[in-house]
Amino acid sequence: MYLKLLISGLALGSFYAIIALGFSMIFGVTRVFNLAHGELLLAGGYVAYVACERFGLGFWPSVPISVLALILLGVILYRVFRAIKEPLELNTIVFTFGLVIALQNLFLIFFSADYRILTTPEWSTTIEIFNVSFTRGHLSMFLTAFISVSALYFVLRHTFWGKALRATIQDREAVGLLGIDVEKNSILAFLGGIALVGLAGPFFASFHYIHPTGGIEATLIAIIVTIVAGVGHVRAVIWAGWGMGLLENLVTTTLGAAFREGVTSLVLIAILLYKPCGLADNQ
Amino acid sequence: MALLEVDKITTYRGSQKVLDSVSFSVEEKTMVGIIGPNGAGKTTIFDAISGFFKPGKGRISFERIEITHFPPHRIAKMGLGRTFQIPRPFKEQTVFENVLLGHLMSRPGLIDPDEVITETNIILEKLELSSKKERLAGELTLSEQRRLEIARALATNPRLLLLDEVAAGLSPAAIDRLVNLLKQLNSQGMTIVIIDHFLNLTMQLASNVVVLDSGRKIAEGRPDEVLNMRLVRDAYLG
Amino acid sequence: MKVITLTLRLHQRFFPKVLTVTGFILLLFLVPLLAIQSSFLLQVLSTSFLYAALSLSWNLLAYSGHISLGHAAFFGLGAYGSALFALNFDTDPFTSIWAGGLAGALLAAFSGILFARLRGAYFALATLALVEIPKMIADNWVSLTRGSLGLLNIPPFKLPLINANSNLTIYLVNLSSLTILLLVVALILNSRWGWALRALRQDEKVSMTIGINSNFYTLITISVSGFGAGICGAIFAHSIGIIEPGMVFSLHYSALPMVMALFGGRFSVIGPVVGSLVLTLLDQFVFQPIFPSGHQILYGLAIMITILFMPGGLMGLLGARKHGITGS
Repeated sequence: MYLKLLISGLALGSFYAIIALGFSMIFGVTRVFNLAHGELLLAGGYVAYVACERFGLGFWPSVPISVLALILLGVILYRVFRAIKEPLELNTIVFTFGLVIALQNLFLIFFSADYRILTTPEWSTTIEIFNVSFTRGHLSMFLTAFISVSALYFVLRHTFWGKALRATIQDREAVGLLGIDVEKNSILAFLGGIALVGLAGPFFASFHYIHPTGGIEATLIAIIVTIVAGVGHVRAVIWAGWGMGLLENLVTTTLGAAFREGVTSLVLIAILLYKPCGLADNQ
Repeated sequence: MALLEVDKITTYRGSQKVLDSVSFSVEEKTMVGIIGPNGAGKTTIFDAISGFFKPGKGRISFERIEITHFPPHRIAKMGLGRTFQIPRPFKEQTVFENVLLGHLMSRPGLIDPDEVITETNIILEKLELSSKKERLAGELTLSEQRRLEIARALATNPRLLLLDEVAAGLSPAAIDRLVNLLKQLNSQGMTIVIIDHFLNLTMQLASNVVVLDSGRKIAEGRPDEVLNMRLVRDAYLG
Repeated sequence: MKVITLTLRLHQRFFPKVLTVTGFILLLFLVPLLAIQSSFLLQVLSTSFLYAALSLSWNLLAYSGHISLGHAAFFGLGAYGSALFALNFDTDPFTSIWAGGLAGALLAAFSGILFARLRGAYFALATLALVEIPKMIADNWVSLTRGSLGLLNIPPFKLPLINANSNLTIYLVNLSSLTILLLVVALILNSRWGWALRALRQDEKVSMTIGINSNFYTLITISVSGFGAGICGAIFAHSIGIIEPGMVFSLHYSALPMVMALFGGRFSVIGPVVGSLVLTLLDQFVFQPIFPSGHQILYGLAIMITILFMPGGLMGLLGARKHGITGS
């Protein structure tokens, strides 16, 4: 029984790690505090929903569609974010708060308040590995997370572009002076982050019901994980993501789903009190 | 009497010592210069004195009262005014309002509007800012913003002024006017401590100079003595 | 007190502005006589007055530089505080709303102390998370609040000679509370308190060097802001008669006051009021008919447009200087 909790917690945590990395990539280079992160996740979910339920595509084909849709949206968003003036963190958090409301209502208009889910019956089937049974769903989540995070880690650590990106996160101005194209870095990192969200969207829509106001929760968790792990620290994000996944699972099973949001909020407040500078310390 | 006493102030940032047992005192009605190469800790010691952080070790006293752990606003109300290296005016307020704020906030209790307006105007006059008093502070030139910093600090009716690099970036003519102004303030009883990395003001104004390097005090004395020391020259050039 | 005199002396065109606003408010008191036909208009205006008051409360805190994304916490607690007070002590609304206000103030003071070291976006984030706590308590302390079943039969407002909780009653209650709050906020912002807030918003560190006690001013400001929001929540509870946690602790009551203050002009005293009137009327008469289920998209768009193109809001476009001693 505990093993099952552990596995589902880790699967959930892997999902959290992906969206936290997305948030991290977006914030790291552009300093946009994207409060609408969860709503973007929902957008990906709704796109996948439409692809699967209305057009009859399977789960896996819907993933690149979701990624593509998000990237297109991301290009528009990037242009808009560029126009926001200092102080960036505060102005973008307010602006994206507006985006949250706008997107929530857009979802209401197009999808109504109904709860929807991507049906993936093949995911309930289990596979036995080392005498432990995993569902296909869990495995898919693990695998996707593993591949994407490893790829990201490799790129950040071992390619020139990745190193330039990390340097940009640390000191934008200095990097510009070194002749590295900060602008190009920015947009690539931003879209990379958005792509990660697009990747996670279909999973989000298949693991639980999506509805217009279901995004805030995901945003808060992404923020918690990013603050705890530090911006751009890929490995720490995995650990923090898993930690949150296990915690959420624990709360849901012991206290009940009603307490989950409350606990998430308490964790966020606790983290903020511990690290008042939040995302600013990058060591 | 020593108006300000800084006693063995030591503070760390992480594991690095930013200030190492710095001690000096400032006699009433004198002008003291604090000089040293970049990163010596000059602004840091100002931050400690004006209460923006609590030093790891050491004590600071103002008018014989220990202020080491006092919050900044309390120290300001005791009569210790301060300016910043890069001017920080209230950009959305006019020049007049900036100085007014200095006056209003440092004195609790009832005020007399006429008196306040008059005094603000006097200070503006003294700092040659009267013609610009209706302009928004953000629109001033550097020299004017520097003067506004001083004006606003003056409005708090301080006994001791901490001036951080007031002369940096100014033309020789502006520096001359500044020197005259400070001489005038000093002769009227104001004690002044100036951080003066570029040595624009020290020779002409200071009766005592404190030299910092890498967080430590490496020399103290009269300007002509100190500036001739090998130690000090090496610190600046090395 | 004297500082207010000083401020008003410095302020140009003060009298014309005050006259305009006073005249407008008097006009609003007379609207019911003219609009007997359209009770819908009365309702919409009532709602806008409630939001205006909430928005004014929000803006008081924002004036100091602290942007709150969680005012629903104070609003909701005010609603519950007042309702519970009235139901348990058998009082009328005009008494119990003060309990609601007090509840809002206490929570606000508590969060002000708790979040004292947080700034900017992190303070905003903390306030966003804050809402869950009173909501969780209201949901789960079933013996006190009946949990998600909510509270019923909350005593309505009763004015002499008018039916209880009629459109007219609620209209007058909301308009009166708005007027009083407007007066309070105007007095605060034109006094030494207001000057301290302006300074703190622009540069906290420098403000401290001229003697402004940042923690003190933040604390009293957030408390008054919470009090105002609590009163609004209380009025809401008694006007509707039924409340439950998801309804009063919703993002809606955190978002709307902010949107209206920003859109109307957060650097002026009446900006929030202007924003509320304009947006509520737009929402109910234009957006609602076109998008029955997603009409609130207006508010999202309003925030985004304000941040991008008019940071000073409508009043900013009309020439209100950012320093805001243009008191109207």
